Amino acid sequence: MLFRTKPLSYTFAAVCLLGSFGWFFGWDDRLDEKIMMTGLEGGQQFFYFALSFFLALVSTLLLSSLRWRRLPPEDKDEEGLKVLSGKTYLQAMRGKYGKRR
Amino acid sequence: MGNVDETLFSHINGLVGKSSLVDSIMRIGVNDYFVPVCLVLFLVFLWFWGRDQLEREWCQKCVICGLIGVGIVNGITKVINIFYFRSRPFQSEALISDIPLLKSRVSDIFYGPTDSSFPANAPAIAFALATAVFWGNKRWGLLAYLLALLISFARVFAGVHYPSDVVVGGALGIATTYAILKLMQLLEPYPSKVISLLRKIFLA
Repeated sequence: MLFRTKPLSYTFAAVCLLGSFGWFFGWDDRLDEKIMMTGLEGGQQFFYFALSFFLALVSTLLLSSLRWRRLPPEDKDEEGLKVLSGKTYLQAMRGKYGKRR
Repeated sequence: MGNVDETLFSHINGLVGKSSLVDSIMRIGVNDYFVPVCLVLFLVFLWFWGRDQLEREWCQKCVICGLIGVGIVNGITKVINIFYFRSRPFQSEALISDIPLLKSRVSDIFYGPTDSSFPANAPAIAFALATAVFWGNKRWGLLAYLLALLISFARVFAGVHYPSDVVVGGALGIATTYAILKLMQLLEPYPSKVISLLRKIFLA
């Protein structure tokens, strides 16, 4: 959604993923000290799973909307994620639920 | 059974300190972050996966079942913990007398949790998520199961669970998600209606 070509999208995703894992486990002695002191309980894990899944989805949609805000939307009147290949999330929502002129 | 469990535990935990590479891999695998985050990423990928509308809808239902499965299996382990408390291996006097290095091995790899050991919660969650991924996409599912196996083995390796804890936890995770998937098929068309609602706001 952020880039128009698949190889660039996959490269960007891989860099983001490896970068965030590297930052989390490599920074601030986390693997050697902080993680060794305490952990997450089951309930907390579930809460963070659901929250991270939702935030990942929403932030991707919002970032792609900002990235492509000046792009003229393709005129498709469909539903679902596929529409977002030709429109940004905000354009799609506005097109479906905004005021009709 | 108790003896088999403790013997197997002693063999696996006895591997600590034999290879620094294995110790490092286990320290990454055992913690509460690496495997769960990877499995959640699998769910995110699965949400967007699908060559056509039908396949994508099925994958998204699997993701929803996985999340519900995690919640339910969490509840099941909590209820079992209330009625049955089993102390951690590194708290067992018998094991400490057999393996004098046990406590230091735990602190080398992981912190020492003090809640009930049975059933293991982290493997239960990991296998619940991996089962959902497997039903959505077999290839990714196998990778997800490998990660679930890694966290399960690492928990025994680190000395915070007995093998039977992780086996029962894993089985509970698989059974819960599988049951929810089957229930979802019985509840049709309601799950499809939920996906259809999400499609209307371009989230599915």
